[in-house]
Amino acid sequence: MDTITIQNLNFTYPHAGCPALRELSLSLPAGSFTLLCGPSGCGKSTLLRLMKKKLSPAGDCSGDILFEGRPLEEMTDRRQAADIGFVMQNPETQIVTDKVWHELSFGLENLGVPAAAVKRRVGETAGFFGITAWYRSDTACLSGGQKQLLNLAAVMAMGPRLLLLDEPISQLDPIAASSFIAMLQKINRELGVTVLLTEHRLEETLPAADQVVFMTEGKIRVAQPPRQTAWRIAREHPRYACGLPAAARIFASAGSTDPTPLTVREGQDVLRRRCPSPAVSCLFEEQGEAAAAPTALELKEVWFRYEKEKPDVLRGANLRVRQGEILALLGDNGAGKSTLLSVLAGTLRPYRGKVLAGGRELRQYKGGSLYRRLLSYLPQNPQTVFVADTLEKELDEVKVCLSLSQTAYEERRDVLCERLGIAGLLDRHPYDLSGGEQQKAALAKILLLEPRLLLLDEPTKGIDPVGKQELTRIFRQLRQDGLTLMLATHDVEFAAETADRCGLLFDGDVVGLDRPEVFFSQNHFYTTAASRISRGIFEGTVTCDQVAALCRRNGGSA
Amino acid sequence: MQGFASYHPAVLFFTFLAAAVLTMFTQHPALLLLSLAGALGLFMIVKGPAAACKGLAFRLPFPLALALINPLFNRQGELILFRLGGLPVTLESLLYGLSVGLMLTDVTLWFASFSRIVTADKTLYLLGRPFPRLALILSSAMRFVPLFSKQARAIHQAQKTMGMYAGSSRRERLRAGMRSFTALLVWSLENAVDTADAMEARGYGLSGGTRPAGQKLHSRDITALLTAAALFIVGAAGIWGQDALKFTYFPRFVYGRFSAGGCIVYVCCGLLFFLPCLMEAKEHMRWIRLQSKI
Repeated sequence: MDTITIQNLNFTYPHAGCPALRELSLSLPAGSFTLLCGPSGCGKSTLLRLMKKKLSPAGDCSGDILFEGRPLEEMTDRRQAADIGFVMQNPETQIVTDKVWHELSFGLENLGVPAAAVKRRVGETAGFFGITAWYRSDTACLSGGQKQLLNLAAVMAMGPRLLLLDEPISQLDPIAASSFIAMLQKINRELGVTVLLTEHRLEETLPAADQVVFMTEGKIRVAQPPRQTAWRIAREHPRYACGLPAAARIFASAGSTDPTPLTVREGQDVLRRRCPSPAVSCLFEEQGEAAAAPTALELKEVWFRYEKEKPDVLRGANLRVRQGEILALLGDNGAGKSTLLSVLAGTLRPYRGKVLAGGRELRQYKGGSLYRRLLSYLPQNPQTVFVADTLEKELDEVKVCLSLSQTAYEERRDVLCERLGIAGLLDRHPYDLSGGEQQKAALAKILLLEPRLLLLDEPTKGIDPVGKQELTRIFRQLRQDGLTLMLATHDVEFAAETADRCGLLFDGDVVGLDRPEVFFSQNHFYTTAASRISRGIFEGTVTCDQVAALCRRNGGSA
Repeated sequence: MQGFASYHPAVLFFTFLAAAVLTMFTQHPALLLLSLAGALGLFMIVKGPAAACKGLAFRLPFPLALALINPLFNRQGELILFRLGGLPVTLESLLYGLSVGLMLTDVTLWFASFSRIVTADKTLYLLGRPFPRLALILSSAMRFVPLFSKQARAIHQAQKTMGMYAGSSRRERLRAGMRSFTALLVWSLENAVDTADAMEARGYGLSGGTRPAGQKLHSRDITALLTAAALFIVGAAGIWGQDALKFTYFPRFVYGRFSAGGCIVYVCCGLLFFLPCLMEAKEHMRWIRLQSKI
């Protein structure tokens, strides 16, 4: 029997011109693992929420949703709470209580399970999820990955038969994300729970799924096993092919083979078959060191720690950011990337060493003059930038700050909004925008300050693949305008495609700073999927486009 | 601090309450000094000897100051030391001030240790038995506090790097501060919606919820609780009933004669004041014994 059967579902939000979901039919077989993907705003979240009555948005809904053969409306609230689990995007806000143990027992208490049974169930759940070690901890002191694992465990403690997850890993770092996905697979395989997951990052989630559903504009375009879906997305919706796993992307654009490879290993096999002895194995000429550009931003032997008793986060860090380049700083969670950016931005002060911007030490800039037309910092969470209730008023803030004339300001604002593609959003509340739009809106506000140096902390967090491509384009354009960009990111694919130089922050210092082709092809573990696939066959290919280009050049049609 | 603090919250709560109540309702200098010794001993265990000395040095001027100030306002008593501006300064009122100051010092010392040992979650647990709803509200409030302050810092940093706090005039800075405060409120409301969704999704508000399974009352907790209760009853009865424990300052010093009954009360009060230290010492000895056996 199918866990969920959806027939001819239509849904329209109140006061919305066009429906959010159209003629949608889908079935989730019991015990299946389904991945739901598609660009932001395609109706994924709406669909997911309609399957959980308590979270259903208000609006005009027609069609049927059946849970195990019976209409969803006939289920009691109690059955729905227990049988259908829901995990949301933000790990932080879903946690209700201050203690891990209380969080785990929260749902069971609501269901009225007797105390002794609660304790037993919580105990076995904690064991299954490996959280016994921090069972008595405060929820506030957990890492992002631990928080999301706790959210999953708290839902699973109630014993659901269907698990709905709305972009659960979009806020996590790659390591936490893959262990979360591994845990989902374990739940699916060992407990037979039906899983429906929406996600933008397909590299790991797509091969894990039994069925992949691709949606755009409220309609299901493809709903097939992963290989076929990947093949059809690449063929029929090339605009969205950038979200596919690297192996599928490479061979889709290099002339596709059947079956579509999905994982790195499959990609390597296909590439070896395709180009057994490549005539051209390198795209790049050996370059001499680029003419020394002037230094825009510099760290000289910087030491930093948060408190006297705490360990050093930066240990004699040295870094020179050249004028007019995009420099990407990579590193693990907790390596200190955000700390380093804050030190560069002057909001944290090192206890030893020098920080120079534009050749002068930061502390020589008095009264915020550093932040006027010189240096700007875009924090990880764009919501920290917003203070007004419409985007237009938001941008007006800057006018006051820089004391610009109305006409000069409006002209600049319109040009910028046009370029960032947010001109149509000026009357919206910043919180109503999607993650990608929020990021661009915050960027617009910061760019209005006319910085020469731009520091960005995790600019791709929670952004869909199309949005990332757009960010790459915007950043390149800014660089052409003469700005210097420095970004801290987990996203190796994004860094490889966008940056001029990449470095790894490790043990409190920046190591291995080099061009992405060199940086990633010399790394063994911390590298892009495209680099792993092409390793040993091509040299210095780190993005999918590069591998595909070489592949085409070597194999004619292939 | 593994011994005393590891007891059931009810034991901790009762012991502190009993010690504070006995201290507050006696004027007998011997009992006040015993209370001081017990409170100081616990304080030393909780915070270490150095901090305890500092804490004591910080508090001791207080009874001395009260001893000097009280005679200026309190003219009762018979033993006149000298006259100040024609008004008598009596020994009784001087010592009374000292005793009240000592009592307050004792109580603040007890509470300083109390707040360290009976942490927020233990209080919450105690409250949660009779008021489960209140306990959940407090628990989510406590969950929210670190979240709120983290976001406040992030907003402050973001606004600062946009030059929003850099305005020269105070008015401008105030305006910028208000702005980020509003932003913080909007953010927290927005997040509260998410949290509410997460609560509803997990069945919050269904009828017939149960309470969190509590910490067990182990046999050693019951023993400790009974001991403390017995000591408290004997001590309280003695302070109110026994002539030997009477100590009044006005109009002149009156104190009870030494008696066997009074002796028992002294011992019981002393034991109660030193109960936390004794419990701690007992656990400490247990570990030393266990270690020496290995």
